[in-house]
Amino acid sequence: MAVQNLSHEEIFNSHYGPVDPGSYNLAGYLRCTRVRVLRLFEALREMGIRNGTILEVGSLYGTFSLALQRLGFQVTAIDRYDSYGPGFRPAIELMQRAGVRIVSTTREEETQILAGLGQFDVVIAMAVVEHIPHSPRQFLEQLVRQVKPGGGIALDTPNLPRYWNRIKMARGEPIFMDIKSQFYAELPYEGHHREYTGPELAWMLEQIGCAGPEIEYFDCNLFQFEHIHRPHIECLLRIVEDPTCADTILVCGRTPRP
Amino acid sequence: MPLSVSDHVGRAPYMPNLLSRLSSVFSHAAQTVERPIAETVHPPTIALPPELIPLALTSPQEAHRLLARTVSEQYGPGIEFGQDVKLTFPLDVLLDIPHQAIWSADPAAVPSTNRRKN
Repeated sequence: MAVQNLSHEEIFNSHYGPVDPGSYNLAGYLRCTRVRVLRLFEALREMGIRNGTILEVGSLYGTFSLALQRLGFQVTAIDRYDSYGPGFRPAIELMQRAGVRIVSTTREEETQILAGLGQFDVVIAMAVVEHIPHSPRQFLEQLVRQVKPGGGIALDTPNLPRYWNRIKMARGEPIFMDIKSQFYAELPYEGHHREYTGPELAWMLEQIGCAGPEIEYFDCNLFQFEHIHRPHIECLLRIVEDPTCADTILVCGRTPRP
Repeated sequence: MPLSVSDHVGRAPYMPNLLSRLSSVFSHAAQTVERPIAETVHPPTIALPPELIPLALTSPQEAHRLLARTVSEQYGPGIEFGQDVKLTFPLDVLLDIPHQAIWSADPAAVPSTNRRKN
């Protein structure tokens, strides 16, 4: 597997702060990601988008880019690979062998490079918006500028009012990232700055000019576990009653046609 | 030296008034208890049908859509599943389902249904 050689430090570089290696399960993460890829693909089909060009901003391991390229799209993947460690090399090479165009950037030059990539049929940013500090407005405005008129934009992100967060809040526990990680992180901190609700995400897409954003809730984090237990069953049944308890939001919209 | 009750009363001229108010509250509470207790109104429920159990445990949001449609047909528009109508389910039965029967790639696994919309 292309990401097997990634060291813990490369996955969670110094900007995340110290993360307990025992708390991270790469195989489990990839299982969860398969569900996210499937949901995105289904959403694109719902929008009538079955081929064309896709720009993925924040492609990291390439799990979305690789799958979408293999499904018939022409994918361009951009991330701060020049700032990451050499452990990402196999993942980059795997994407390139599949035909994905890789654009490596750094934090300092990414805005300018992104702006020069032109426009795509679809732009996606998966699990990125929660990492944007201050306001996501400039980031989202840049994404929408990269979309052709009438094209699609899709974001997924952790759902702020997910079941487990409601449980934590009811117990008086924090729902933010581990304070030990954030407290000792080098600046700029790159963990989750703010998570969102589905309506908030849809509202933001409307603000940047996207029509009729569709919100999809789904739960994928349970797939990280080898076995599920009573609390997990209770969580799933709570989602049956109220889908806004699911752990992930996918929102898709279209830019106005000319 | 600890203060006695009379010390407190002596230093707090409002105390008799407070005691009077408290006794008034207790008296009111006693009257309230004598009233008949209103029957608790439970919201209507819908049972998780056995045929939806695999879907509920793999695509709960899809199970929600199907049950929301059933609730709408039974109770009419404006009645929301999850809000006005609650779900009941046989938790013990669900806990007894072998893990591999639903979540693994076992040949006997229940295929996940991933329809997005009705």
